[in-house]
Amino acid sequence: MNSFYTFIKKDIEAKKNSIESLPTKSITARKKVISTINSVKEKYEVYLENLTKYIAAKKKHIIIPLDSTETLELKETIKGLEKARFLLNPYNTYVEKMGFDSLLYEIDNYYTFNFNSLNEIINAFLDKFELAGIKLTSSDFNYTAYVHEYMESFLEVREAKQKSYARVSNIFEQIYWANPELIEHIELNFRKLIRINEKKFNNYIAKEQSVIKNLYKITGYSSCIRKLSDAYFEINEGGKESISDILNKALNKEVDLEGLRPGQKMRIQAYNTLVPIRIDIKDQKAMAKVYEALEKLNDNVEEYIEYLDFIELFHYFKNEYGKFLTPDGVKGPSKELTEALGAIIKKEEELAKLNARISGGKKGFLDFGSEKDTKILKAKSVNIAKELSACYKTYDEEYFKNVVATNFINVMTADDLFTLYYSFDFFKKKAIQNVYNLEEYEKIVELSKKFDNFAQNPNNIVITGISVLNETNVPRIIANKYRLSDINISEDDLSEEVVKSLYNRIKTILRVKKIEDSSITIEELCFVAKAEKILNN
Amino acid sequence: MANKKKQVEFDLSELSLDELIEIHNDISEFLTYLEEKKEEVESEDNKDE
Repeated sequence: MNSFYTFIKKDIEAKKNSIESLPTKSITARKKVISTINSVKEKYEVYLENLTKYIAAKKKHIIIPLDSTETLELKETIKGLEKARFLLNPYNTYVEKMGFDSLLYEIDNYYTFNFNSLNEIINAFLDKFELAGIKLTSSDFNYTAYVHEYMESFLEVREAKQKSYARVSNIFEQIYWANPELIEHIELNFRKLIRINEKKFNNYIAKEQSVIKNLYKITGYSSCIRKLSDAYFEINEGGKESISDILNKALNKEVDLEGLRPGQKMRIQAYNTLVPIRIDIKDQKAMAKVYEALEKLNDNVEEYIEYLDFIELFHYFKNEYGKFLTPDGVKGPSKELTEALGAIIKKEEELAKLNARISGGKKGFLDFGSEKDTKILKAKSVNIAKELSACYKTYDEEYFKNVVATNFINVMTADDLFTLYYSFDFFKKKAIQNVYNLEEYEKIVELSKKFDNFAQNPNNIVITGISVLNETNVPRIIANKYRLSDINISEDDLSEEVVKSLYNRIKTILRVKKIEDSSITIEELCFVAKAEKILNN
Repeated sequence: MANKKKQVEFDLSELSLDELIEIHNDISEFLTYLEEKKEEVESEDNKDE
């Protein structure tokens, strides 16, 4: 036993006893106690300072391997290929590829979520039009006289590159009381502009697609997915939880490093429950196979847990849209969709004529009679805009049903479903909002991002086998597969209630293996984690 | 000074990593104890006043 170790243990005990036994009745006695405490404290502060310096120096000598540059480069490639996949996605249209659907979701829910800035959303719409070379002017915003008035002042401020939109806010206040649906009508105006500029947006996207195809040497969506799948596989192999990942997780209290030490209950339990009794864990050859299987099982269980996070979305889709899946699929737009679009075009024409009369009436505003007429016409235009709002809602519903019916058939899998939702941000967020009963926009966005991260992984395996219309016993499929690979696992281990415990046990074994295979010992890793905490205090 | 001299004589390299952390924790806790004890004694002074 080291003398300093023994000395400190004994000295602290002795000093405590001595201090506790000192008399404190009189002022003089208390002065003496405080003087003793100060003297001991001074000495121990020096001990602590020197010990901390020694720990810092010792920690410096323990090298933790970091992510390689290759992984970082691969992450960049994946980012680029994901952008390519987004642009080449065969399921959606220019509306989604331009990101208009995300903005439409924001403006559509403006009142529900109390967004801070309507101006930011409008500017984002205008930016996207400008990307495609479309410079919108106030004359494009003619849905109602109020929309025109608001957007005229908005565009003036934007054009002058002014930072303050205070003047626009004042106009909004004035208009709002005459037309509380102003924001909704701005949205409808944008929807119309998006529709009538379809060709220009498609041309812009075609150019972008061509650039990105050359950049990543891909011929289309399928070749993009293949490359992305390879890149994901590579990063998954190279980027499997590293020692520095384990350390960071320990620092964030996500990993219990102490539990990974030999003899610890957590470690023993993980091995005892997952490795069959007939396999000797000291038998390296036999264990190599077990570790290999556990790596794969880990990926499958991770994917299954993520799937369970969205199982309600899966059920929602099945109930709402399952009936539109047919054996052969449907070609072209449905009758209902064509009718919904026809109704919109007809009403928008009616509205345009009415607005022309209003702007004509404006010129003769000195005439009392025409001013009165203008007021009546304005009220009429607001009413038609209201009707159009309902028409667009019908159109949205028919549009999504048609997307489902034309792109998928009745053997649709969970993987297809997730691909569908990440291709249509507007409908995905609406579904998330409904299914999880969320009232805060940030929570919807957070869940939506989580969903995308999961759904976009081209190497998901488990969900490719889950049928939307028929029941699939995923726990049974996984358990059967890994029992064949010498893993002690049952269907029950994968039930929703306990699957995370299974996951933690798999992780424990894989982490022990990772540390044992590295140049660092578990003792060193625990030391670094604790030293980090001491030094950061 | 005498104490400091005594401390220099100890060889920390003989301690295992776990022991270093354990001793660090012991000393930190002991310093907290001293601080609390001091406050306790000082508060008795205030009561007398």
